[in-house]
Amino acid sequence: MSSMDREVVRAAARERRLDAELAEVLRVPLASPVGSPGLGERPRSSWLAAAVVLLGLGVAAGVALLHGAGQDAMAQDPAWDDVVDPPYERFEQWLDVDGAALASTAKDADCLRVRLADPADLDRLAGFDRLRALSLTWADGAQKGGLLGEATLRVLTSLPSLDKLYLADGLLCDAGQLRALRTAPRLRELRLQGAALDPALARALVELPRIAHLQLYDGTATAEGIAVLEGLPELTVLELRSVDIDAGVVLAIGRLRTLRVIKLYGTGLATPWLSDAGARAFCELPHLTAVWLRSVTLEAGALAALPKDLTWLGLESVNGVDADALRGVATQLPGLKGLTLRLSQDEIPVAAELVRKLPLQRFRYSGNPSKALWAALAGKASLRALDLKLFSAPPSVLAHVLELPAVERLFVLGGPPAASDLAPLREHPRLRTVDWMLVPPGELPDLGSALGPGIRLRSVWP
Amino acid sequence: MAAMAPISTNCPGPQALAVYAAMLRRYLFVLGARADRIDDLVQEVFVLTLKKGIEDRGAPAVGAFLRGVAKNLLLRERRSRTARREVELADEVWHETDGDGDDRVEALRRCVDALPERSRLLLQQTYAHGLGRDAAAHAFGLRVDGVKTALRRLRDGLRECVERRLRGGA
Repeated sequence: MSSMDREVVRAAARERRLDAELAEVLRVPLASPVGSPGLGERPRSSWLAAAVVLLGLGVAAGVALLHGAGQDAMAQDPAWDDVVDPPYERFEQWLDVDGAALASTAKDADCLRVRLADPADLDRLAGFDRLRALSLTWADGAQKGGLLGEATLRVLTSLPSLDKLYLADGLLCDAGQLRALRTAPRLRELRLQGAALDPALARALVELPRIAHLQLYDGTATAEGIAVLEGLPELTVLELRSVDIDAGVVLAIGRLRTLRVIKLYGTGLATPWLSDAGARAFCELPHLTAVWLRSVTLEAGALAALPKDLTWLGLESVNGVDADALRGVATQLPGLKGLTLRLSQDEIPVAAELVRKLPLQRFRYSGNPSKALWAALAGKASLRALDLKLFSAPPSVLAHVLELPAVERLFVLGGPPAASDLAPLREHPRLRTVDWMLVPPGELPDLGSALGPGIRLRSVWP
Repeated sequence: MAAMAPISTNCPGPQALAVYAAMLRRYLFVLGARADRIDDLVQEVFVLTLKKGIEDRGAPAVGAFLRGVAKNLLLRERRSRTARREVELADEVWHETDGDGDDRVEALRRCVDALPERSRLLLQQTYAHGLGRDAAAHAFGLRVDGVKTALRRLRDGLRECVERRLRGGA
């Protein structure tokens, strides 16, 4: 059997593997489906088979080039519409260390959160070849900001596995310094804190063409700066948190055609950020799947003007819309699979209505749900993930979770539970992951035992 | 993902058997077993295993053992050297990912769940309900060739989605 023969046989086996997996997922009997080569369909001559495979690959490549990868909705990567485990919301298990202690930290760490007293401590990161995610914060009393030395920049940019970098307040907010990151071989996600995103800084960012996820915290942005980001060919997620922006910035965001996810978290000021025109501008983004808004003021028609095919909408403490406008989401965005809500007192009844009407797979809610909301959630067979940001987490909350049969993932922020409160969740038929924030590390083993081996418990401790 | 319980000669629980059976069906199909033979082969694997007994060394070891039995049964049906070689090559493909392949199925399940409504419908109508290309073309307002292309692209998208999920990246 020639090497080409072997490749043909392997390729057919890979097709059959996908067929078998699809059959299991769709719960249908195994058979050779439409569009996939079955074993009996292989041409008699192996050379002919190889030629057909090569010709097919060529034609497919040509067709893909002609059509453009993202223009056919059926060819879009479905992971971006996944609201239960979306690629833009990865749960990181950070290892916390002081900068001075890096020398004694195991070099195989893949996810480090470093408290810096002196930026030069970063020199000690040399040799952390498996480090994938690095978050830098300032130690108490440290002098924030400042420039990094050349040696430190060299260490930072030579980490071979680093794809996520969260910078401490004021660090690398200078265009010249930021430009140094262009030699980082795998950097895809970058968080800048305290930066002014003007054209100069944006031009430095564009020199990092692999950036796919950009976060700007506690800074400012101008429409001209955002416009320059059109030069980032893979920019998929844009997060502006506590950033002072105006309606012009939103319009500029609406021209970043590669975006799939937009998160705008305001400063709490009553600036009309999202105008009707701004929301309409988002309709021009061909791949947009999620829009999260927090502490943002909307113009009256903005919700109705958002793209109709959004998968996830977040509305937390938004101003400018009333309960009726919120109710309208159910008819204006009927395909929502993910919904985040933080409502004012008079809007709370709307939550249950939206849950009942939308095909939700994930629901994220701030506040203790009302009885009506729990009842709506209990009737939601599609609901696979529930996120609760609670003011308190009484055992009754967990009793309600037992009534949600399809939920496989639970996220709770709101004080650590008692092990005895968690134990009943063992009986849940689908629950596989509990992310309970702010559990002291010492309490995790007991809580994990209470949940049993079938449920994974994770936490983040500040 | 359903956790596999170790099989034991004394009490092979029905739930454990069902999970192993699903894995074996996939495995045998990948190896090239005919769809109408697979259930018989799976049954033979279990009968042989229960007769012979198996040491309880955890789910991965039990799964590997069962696959070994299944492969030998299939090889017994393949007379020609080429056909046997094809089984071995397909077995290599199975081992491109670790273990029982449950992670792949779970990843695929998530990818299918996340498909746009129209794509998921096309997948279900053609795979689950056996809708032919002509009927699918009529139902979805596509040309007959368009159905084939759409399914091909859908499969490619799902394949990439699964690979990326297994890598754990965005």
